[in-house]
Amino acid sequence: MKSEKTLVLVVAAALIFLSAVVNASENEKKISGIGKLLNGRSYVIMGKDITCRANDLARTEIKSWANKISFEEGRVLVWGKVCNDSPENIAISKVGKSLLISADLNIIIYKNEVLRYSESGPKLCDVGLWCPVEQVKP
Amino acid sequence: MKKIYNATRWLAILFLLIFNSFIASAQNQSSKCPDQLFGLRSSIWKTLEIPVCWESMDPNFETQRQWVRQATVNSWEKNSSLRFTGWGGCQSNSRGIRIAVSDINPHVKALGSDLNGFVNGMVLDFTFERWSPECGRPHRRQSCIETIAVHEFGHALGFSHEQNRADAPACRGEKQGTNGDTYITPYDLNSVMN
Repeated sequence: MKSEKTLVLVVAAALIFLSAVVNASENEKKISGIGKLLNGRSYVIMGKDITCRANDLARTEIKSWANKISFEEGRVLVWGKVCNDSPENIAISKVGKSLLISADLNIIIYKNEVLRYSESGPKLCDVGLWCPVEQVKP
Repeated sequence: MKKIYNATRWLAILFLLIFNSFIASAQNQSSKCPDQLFGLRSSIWKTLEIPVCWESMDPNFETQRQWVRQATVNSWEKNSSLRFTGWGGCQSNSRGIRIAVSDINPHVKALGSDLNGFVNGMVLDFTFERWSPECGRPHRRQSCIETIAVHEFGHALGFSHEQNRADAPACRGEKQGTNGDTYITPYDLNSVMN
């Protein structure tokens, strides 16, 4: 009787362990699939009158977006403003619940911030990304 | 003879006790005072020879590539045992720092060894038509390319922006990019990582 109970317990523990392993590997597959789908895509959140100082000799004040996030090689790159040259680089498997993605992949929510996909790449002024505040003022 | 043995044993025990208390005191000190360092410890390369390659070997940029290489020799290599090796064209499986050239803001996509094998992991600008056009002027171009290369290679070694340090004056500009977690030297107003 005692040995039967032990056997039942062992089998239950084995089943719980196996289901955890299967869930983990399914999650990994899902995350890896999402990483492939998002690879090369960039998302930005624009804002009015956002500027930053470029890393040039004159520390030129240029227009900027509020935040930009891009996806490359299974990594999430959190850039912040346009002047930043070294983004936070996080494995997509480690962002967890702080990253939400819309079904059509056009919107992501990262740490409660809504960022939108821009197919032709974000532009801050006619020239592109180099938009000194002094020159673009009306 | 037995007395000498006992005395030696007690001396050894005493030495161990003193040594242990010294170590404990040193550890206590280091937890009270921050180390005077600034880099990202987890991204330190495990080797002193770091391979570098170019995603494209455009013959029009041969001179600019030489400027970049020489800038790293005259800065990081001159002041350390570190050596950047290779400098040829990247293969699909090339490890180390992979440099692309594009007319956008020069950047790295990660700090230090997290760049290892990252395609387009470092991007440098050689033309400056759309980004920082002041650097595109003939008398400025070489200086800009060299200065920016030294800065980006600093990131590639695991160094964060100097202005991100907790002890940097607020007037030194807004903090940007990944923070380090290790202070190496006192704050440097003239750091190439500013």
